[in-house]
Amino acid sequence: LAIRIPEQQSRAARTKPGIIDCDVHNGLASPAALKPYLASRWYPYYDQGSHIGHKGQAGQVVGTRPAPHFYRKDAMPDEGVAGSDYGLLREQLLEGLNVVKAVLSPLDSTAWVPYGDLGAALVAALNDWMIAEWLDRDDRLTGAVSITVEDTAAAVAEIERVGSDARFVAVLIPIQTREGLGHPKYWPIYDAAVAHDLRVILHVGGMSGTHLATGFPTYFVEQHSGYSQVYGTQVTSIVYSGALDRYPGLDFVLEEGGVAWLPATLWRLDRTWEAMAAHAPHLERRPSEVVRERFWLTTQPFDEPEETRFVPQLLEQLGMNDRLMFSSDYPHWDFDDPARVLPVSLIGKELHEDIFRRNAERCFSFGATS
Amino acid sequence: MPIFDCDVHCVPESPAALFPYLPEQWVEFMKNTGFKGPGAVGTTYPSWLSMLETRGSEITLERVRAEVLSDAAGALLNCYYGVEAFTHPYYGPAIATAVNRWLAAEWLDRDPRLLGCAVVTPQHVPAAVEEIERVAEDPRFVSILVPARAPVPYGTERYWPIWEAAADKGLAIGITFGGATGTPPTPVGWLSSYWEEYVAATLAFQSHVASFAVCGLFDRRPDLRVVIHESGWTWLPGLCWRVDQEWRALHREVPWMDGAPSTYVRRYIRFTTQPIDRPAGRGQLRQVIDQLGMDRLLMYSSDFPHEYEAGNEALFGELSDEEAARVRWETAAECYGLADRLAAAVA
Repeated sequence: LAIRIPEQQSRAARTKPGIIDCDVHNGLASPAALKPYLASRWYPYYDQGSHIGHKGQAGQVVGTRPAPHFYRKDAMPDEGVAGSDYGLLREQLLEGLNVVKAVLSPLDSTAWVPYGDLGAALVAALNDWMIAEWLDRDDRLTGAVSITVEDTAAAVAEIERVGSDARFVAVLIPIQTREGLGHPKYWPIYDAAVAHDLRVILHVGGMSGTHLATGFPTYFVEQHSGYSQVYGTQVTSIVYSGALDRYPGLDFVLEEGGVAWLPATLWRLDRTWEAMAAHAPHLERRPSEVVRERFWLTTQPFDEPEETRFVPQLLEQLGMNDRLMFSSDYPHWDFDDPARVLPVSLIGKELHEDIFRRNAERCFSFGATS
Repeated sequence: MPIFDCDVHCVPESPAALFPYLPEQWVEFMKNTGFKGPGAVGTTYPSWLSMLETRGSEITLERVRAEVLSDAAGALLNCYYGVEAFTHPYYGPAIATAVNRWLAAEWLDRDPRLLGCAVVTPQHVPAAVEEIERVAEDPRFVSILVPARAPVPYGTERYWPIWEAAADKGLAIGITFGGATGTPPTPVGWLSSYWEEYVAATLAFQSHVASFAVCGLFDRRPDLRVVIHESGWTWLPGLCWRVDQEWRALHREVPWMDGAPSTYVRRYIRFTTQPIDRPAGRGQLRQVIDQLGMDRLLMYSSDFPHEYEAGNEALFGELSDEEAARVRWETAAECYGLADRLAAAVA
């Protein structure tokens, strides 16, 4: 089987008039890259690795992964890790794929200790690094605020410190939290996000103490596909908790969770809502309606049906054409190419423009980008 | 075409009902400890929720004859008893044996149209294997039964002796809703309500389906069948697409597989029909059936005495006569070998 690689030029041409990429990962080239932004009193802890949350046991299936690292090989710069070199990111993503706005979510913090003074100092340094080395450099770049998700007071303080910078458009929460995200301990974070007009991005990462509804699996193929379980649980927890009623401006963006798990989750939520109406009187509205109003969904990894004819069915069942937004996950190994995923020939020009640009313009209040 | 009902619940009315089937030392232990029945049955099927209420005093043979066997030519009994919750390596398995002896004496002996699932203790592997060897002497047991909740997915190698023992004896592996293993029932721990746990209950099934599909057990034992009871099942197409996609990128990790995970699901895993997490949109249930590539995936169940609104009616409204016949009888007949096991009753 011959695989045709489209030329860079034609690829950009196919993504005219410009797209928005809602999930891009910039990152520290090396641990040392954070130090200019970190007070020296933290260096001994940082140098000794005290900042690594869960001591590296964040549920990875040990010894098996897709590659020597989790990156696209061609996205590795001469030095440092993929996503750490602005020039290469600009060339491959912004210019190569005609990305007119990108939402940067550095994942460094999602593996760091999620509470305590060290954690708070680190995310503050990371946000300052984000401003100085990325947001200041290119108008096309916007970012998510990194926080210590399990330390509500520190998280709120950090959102208040940088959240008024309009180039921050969201707060980044790793999907695997210690409690379900409906837990009241997280509500002050939502309050602060709403006050600063920030969306709440839920992205793969973090550590809950387990991985699936049945503990840890054996193989990476199970672990990685199992992320859909985490997203389903968090949507359920948030919907049940009442947080969405308490904070009318609160909107969640589900990133890197896949798509195909959501329709059946909505059907299950609705059936439960009907069957147990007497046991959850605080839920006045059908959960599927609430989710379709308050959650946004990014496309990657688009869990593509084996038969193309099922793609329109999946989108119809999802019923979120106005809330679905393209994401590439650049520079990770399972990157979705905008020239290939959800092509115009399959979903039509109007929907394609909604997914690849217009929905994100509304979600992140970018205004018209073309 | 007759109907075979693959999921009918029964449960001992009280622990005393098990006394005739338990060794004396455990009867005395039960009395001394004031055992009132496994908490896991009540947390799986809460008594306050009429949809799932499962009370031994109300599930009688007369009712099963009137409400199940009136339509069905045969039925498979699911006597979930929370045996997975007993950490004691001798007491737990003794209770499992007692439940199975009770099921044989109180139900199977009394109506030849009834077949049984034998409960086993997945947490005590050698005892589970022994129990499989014991019940396999009785051809009316056609499956073993373990709960969906588990500390690790069931394709994990520690469980293989149980599954291989079942395969050796021609028994299916039934995985049923709920359970209690002390481990959190969701990927982010313990949530605040049964409502949330009920929504999330499909996830444990998804773990096991993915795990069995990739772990290599079916490659070694193509004679094995897994039956997923009471799962909602409309999540299956989405799960298959996701795991297939991951497998295409990660197949080097599981080199024994000779096809995509979904091909293993279609070959070896079956799903009982009730309840159904039904799509709201017109025509979408039929879309899901098409997406399943449903040739022999679904098997009819009433889930008696659980009460769900209109699931089976909606499903059969979407099926051709040929498909309906497969769901009502043929797939279960193949899976459980009904021709041999039920021959006398159906004739």
